[in-house]
Amino acid sequence: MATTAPPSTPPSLADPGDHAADRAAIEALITDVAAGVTARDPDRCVARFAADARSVTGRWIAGRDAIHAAHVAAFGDGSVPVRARFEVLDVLFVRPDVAIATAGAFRAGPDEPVDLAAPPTIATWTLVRTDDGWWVAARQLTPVAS
Amino acid sequence: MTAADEAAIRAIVADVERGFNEDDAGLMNRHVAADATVGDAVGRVHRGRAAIDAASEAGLAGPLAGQRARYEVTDITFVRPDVALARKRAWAVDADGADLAVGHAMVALYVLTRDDGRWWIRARQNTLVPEG
Repeated sequence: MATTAPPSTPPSLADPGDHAADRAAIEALITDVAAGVTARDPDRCVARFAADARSVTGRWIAGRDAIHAAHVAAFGDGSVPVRARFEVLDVLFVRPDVAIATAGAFRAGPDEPVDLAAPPTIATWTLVRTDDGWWVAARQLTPVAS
Repeated sequence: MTAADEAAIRAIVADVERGFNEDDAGLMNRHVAADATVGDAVGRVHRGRAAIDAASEAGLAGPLAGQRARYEVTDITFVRPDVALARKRAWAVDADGADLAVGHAMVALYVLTRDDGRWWIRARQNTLVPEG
C-alpha cells in the first residue's frame, strides 16, 4: 500500500498538549541513567527501561535483562566513560503518552562545561508513559564523526 | 495492529531502500512526517521534513550517489496499536546486489505512527555496527 499511495503532504503530527511536566520527568529519567553510568550501577542504568526495551549501540540488544547484562559487561571492560552526562536537546510528543527525545551524550560530570552544539554522541530515546510513569522503549547511541 | 500494519511499515522501508538505490530523495522521504527527526550514521541530526529533504538531496547527489544498499526489517514492536518501532539492518551491496565487504553494517531504528489511516516516519536514527 505504501508504494502505490500518491504522494501526500507530510503532516505535522506533534501532540498539541502541555507537556512541561512530562518533559521534566523525561529529563530527570535520562539524567538518572547518566548518574547510573557514572556510579557504575547497572541497576540504576536500566531502572526505567521496559521489559522489552531495545538498545542500539555498536550492536542491537533486545530486552531489559540483556541490556542490564551489557551494562555489567561494559563496566567490567571499561568501555564506557568514567563520567557520563546526557543533555536533552529536543522532545517530540508523537502521542500524549509517547515521546521521542534527542540528547547529546557527553563524557562529563553534571557541572562540567560542555558544548551543546557539538555532542560527541547522539542519543535518541523513545519513551512511553504508563500509569507508573515514563519508561524507555528504546535507546540508540550514534557517535558523531569528528 | 494487524498484518496490514506490518506490511505497510515494510513497504515504507522498501521505498526508502529504492529511493536510496535510485538516488531519489523524494521517494526516500515520501513517508517522513513534517516534524520528523532523522539522525544519520555519522551523528548529524536533521529536524523537519525540509531539512531532511535537503540533507538527502545533497547526499544522494554527492557522496552517496551511485551507492547501493540492501535493507532488511528484522523487528517490529508496537508500543501502542498506532505507534511502532521498526529495526532495519542495512548492508552495502554492489550493482548486482552482492554484499560488499566494507567492515560494517548499519542498524536503523524507526519510530512510526499511524495517523489518518497511514503510517508515517516520525524518527529514524542510523548507527554503524562492526561486521567483519
